[in-house]
Amino acid sequence: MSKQLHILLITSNQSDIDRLSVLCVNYDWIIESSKNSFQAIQKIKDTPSYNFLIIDHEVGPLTSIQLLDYLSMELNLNMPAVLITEKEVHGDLNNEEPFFIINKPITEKDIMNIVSFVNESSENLKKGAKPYSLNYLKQLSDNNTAFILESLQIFKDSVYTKLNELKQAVKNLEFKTAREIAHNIKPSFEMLENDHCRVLCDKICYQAKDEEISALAEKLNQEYLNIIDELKKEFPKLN
Amino acid sequence: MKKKILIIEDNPMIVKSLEFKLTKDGYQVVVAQDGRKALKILETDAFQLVITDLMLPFINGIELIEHIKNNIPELPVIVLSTSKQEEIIMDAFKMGVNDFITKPFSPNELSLRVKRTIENN
Repeated sequence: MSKQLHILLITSNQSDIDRLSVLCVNYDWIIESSKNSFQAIQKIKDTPSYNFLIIDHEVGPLTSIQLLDYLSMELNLNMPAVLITEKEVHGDLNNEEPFFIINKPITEKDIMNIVSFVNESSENLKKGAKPYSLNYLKQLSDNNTAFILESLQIFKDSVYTKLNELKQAVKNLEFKTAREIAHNIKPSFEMLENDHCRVLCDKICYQAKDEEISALAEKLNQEYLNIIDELKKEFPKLN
Repeated sequence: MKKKILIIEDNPMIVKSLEFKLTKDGYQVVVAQDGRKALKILETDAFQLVITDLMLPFINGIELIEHIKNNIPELPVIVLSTSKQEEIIMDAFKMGVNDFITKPFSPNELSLRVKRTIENN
């Protein structure tokens, strides 16, 4: 099974969005889209955890290269990027950069190549990355250690309980309840700045069909366990 | 005397954060985890502000706001929402809520909005 990837597709071309959605149906990808490069910058600022970008080379107002330059220079983000283009791209691309270029229309084979490319280029970037951040709790409390530890304990206990309720709701085919539970716990993940879980909660709440909720709930549970494992390394006193 | 705020929210992490920040800002904070408990508290206690979630157990946020606006119209209400709840926020505003804050809230924004709402009322 492929690992889950969170992708931002930047294109004004709806057929590209539709085509990619169809092609990657067998991959564990979460795809969001932006219609232009300004909107993309805002999304990336709001959600810095995208694994990679897929950019239409003809996107505007900033071109794909200007966009990547901006991300690198202004936001210090060197994200792997796949450029999709209808014509040959020359010159302005530096081979040292984490680019991968494919020609439209995107094919099944391209998707497999993208997976290999992203796995390779994101490996180093992801090394050492934690599935949580304490920045929000620190900012809220002026770095109050007792508050942070107490909040983490609440996170561990309350989300555990809710995830069990979610499992039960799915088992009982109570999908409205399942959606409400995902809605309830979403801010808990947001407070630890885990964007992957935010997206999973949103999917359960607003996008998933009933029959898709079980798999999404399982992913959410796995990510929760991952967060707790990592938290325990940093905070061994967490019960 | 400290101004009193009733928080109605069922996510314990959000409750903890609101309690911490608002207490630090000098308010007295009372918490109800669901709409039913909130109504009981409102029957016996006076507050300068209610901060409420919209999706609550037993009595939802909209019903609760309706009750407050019918029975304690002078009591200001700030709604806690998540992103993607635009329609329900609009409904809440039509019922007379004073402001809304998105979860998880920005600490400074919370302080400012709470202060402003209490002062304006």
